[in-house]
Amino acid sequence: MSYSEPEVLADTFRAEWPRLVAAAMRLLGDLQSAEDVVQDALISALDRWPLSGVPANPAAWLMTACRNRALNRIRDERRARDRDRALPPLWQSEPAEVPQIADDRLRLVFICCHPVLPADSQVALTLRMIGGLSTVDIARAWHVPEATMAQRLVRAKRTLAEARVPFEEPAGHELTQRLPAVLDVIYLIFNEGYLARGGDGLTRPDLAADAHRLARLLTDLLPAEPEAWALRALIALQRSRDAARTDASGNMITLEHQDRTRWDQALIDEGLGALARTGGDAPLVLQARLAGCHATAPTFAATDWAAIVGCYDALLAQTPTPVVALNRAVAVAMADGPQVALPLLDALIEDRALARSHRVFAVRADLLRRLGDTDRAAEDYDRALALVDNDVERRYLTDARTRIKEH
Amino acid sequence: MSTPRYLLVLIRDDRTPTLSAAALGIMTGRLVAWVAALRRWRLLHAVAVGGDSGPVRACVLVTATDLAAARGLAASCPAPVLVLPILGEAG
Repeated sequence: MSYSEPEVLADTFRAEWPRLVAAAMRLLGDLQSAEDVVQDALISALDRWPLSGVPANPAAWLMTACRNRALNRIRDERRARDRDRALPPLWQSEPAEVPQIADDRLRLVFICCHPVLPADSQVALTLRMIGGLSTVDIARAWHVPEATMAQRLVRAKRTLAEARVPFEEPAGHELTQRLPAVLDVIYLIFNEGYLARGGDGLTRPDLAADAHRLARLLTDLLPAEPEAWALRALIALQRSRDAARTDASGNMITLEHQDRTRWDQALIDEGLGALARTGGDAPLVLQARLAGCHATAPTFAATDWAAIVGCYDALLAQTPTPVVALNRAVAVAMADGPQVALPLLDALIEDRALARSHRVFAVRADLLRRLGDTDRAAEDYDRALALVDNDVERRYLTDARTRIKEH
Repeated sequence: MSTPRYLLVLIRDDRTPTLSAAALGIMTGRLVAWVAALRRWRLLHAVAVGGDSGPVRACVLVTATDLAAARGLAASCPAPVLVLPILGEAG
C-alpha cells in the first residue's frame, strides 16, 4: 500500500459517485433514495477495504454494493406494501430489474438541471449529485448556512419527485433546448470559482476544478456537441492562467503583467484541442475563441486585439449585455487606443445594470490614467473602491490609485 | 513471556454519513494505509469488521510492548479508537 492511496481512493470515489447515483436512480426512481444507497455503499467500503484490502476493481465493487442495497430497499418496500402476500425470491426478478452497468450519468445531469427547478437549486443539486460534494461544502462555496443549503437540496429532490420528472436524457430538439441550461449551470459554478464574489482569495480553485471536471464529463458524454467542447475549452484556457494571476502575497496581477511562462501549457493544450472541436458562433464558442486568442499570444502587446474586438462584436450582437459591452470597450482600448474607448465607457457608466459594478469604474480609471488625466482617474478608482467586494481586487485598486498619485 | 496484545476498537464517526465522496475516499485510503502499516510491522494479529450500523466500525487485535505503545498505535489511526488490554496478557 502506498501513502498516495488516500488521493487515489478520493479520486475513485469522486469519479464513481455520479455513475453510482445514476445507476441507483434507475433502480429506485428517486434521487433521495439513490443518494442514500450510494452513501451507504461508500461507507461500507470505508469499513471493509482497510481490513480486507482494496478490491482489484474498486468501481465494480462499489457498483455491486449499490445495486445490492438498492435491491434490498426495493424488497423492503415491497414487503411493507404486500406484507400478507408471499414474495417471489428476489433473484427471480433480478434480470428484469437490474441493468447492466449502464452509463446513466447524462440522464442524471439533465435531471439535476431540469427547468422545473430554480437556477440556484440546479447548481446545488449538480454539485451534490454529479460532483459528489457534501452539503457542507456546497453551503460554504455559496456562502449560505448549511441548514439553508440542506433545505434547498431536499426541496429540489422533492420537486423532481412530485413533478415525476422521467429519468431519461432528452433527444433531438429537446436536447438542443435543454443543453444550454446544463452549460449555464457548469459555467456558473466555474465563474464563482474563477473570480470569487466575496472573501479574501481571488479564486476558489476547488470550485473551478469541480466545474472543469463537470465540463470534461459533459464532452465525454456528448462528444458531438460543439458548445460542450466550447465550455471545456473556455474553462481549461481560463484555468491555465491561475498560477500567474496572483503574486506570492496573493495580490492580483492583471493579464498585461502576468508572467506567461507560468501559464499551464497542459491546460492550454487541452483548451486549444477542445476549441478545435467547436464550430459556429454560439456565445460560448465566441468566448472560448477569445480565451484562445489570449492563450496563444506570445506577449500582451502582440495579442491579436482586432480579432478579439471582432469576437466581442459577434458576441454583443447575440448577447447585448452591459458586461459584454464593457469587455468589448477594453479590447477597443487595446486595439485602437484609450481615447477611442473612453466614450464607450462614459455611455456604459450611465447604464443602470452597471451602476453597482466596480469594474466599469476601474476600467475607466485605467483609461484615464493612460491618457494622463490622473485627477479623474483617482475619482474613478475611489468609486470602484467603494463598490468592490473582493479583498484581492480591493488591494489591487488601492495600489493602482496610490501609484497615480505618486506620479 | 509473550508480548501483550491489545484490542483496538475503531469507533464510527457521527459525521461520516454526511461527508462528500472525496472525503470518504480520503478517509478510506488513510485507514487502508494504517492497517497495511500494522501488517508490515508484524503487529497485526486479527481483524473483524463490525456491522453496517452501530458504534463499532471494526476491531483490530495488535501486539504492543505496553499500554502506552498500544495507545501510540491507536493515536496513529485516522479514525477514533478505543484501546482495550487483553486480560492476562497486558502489563
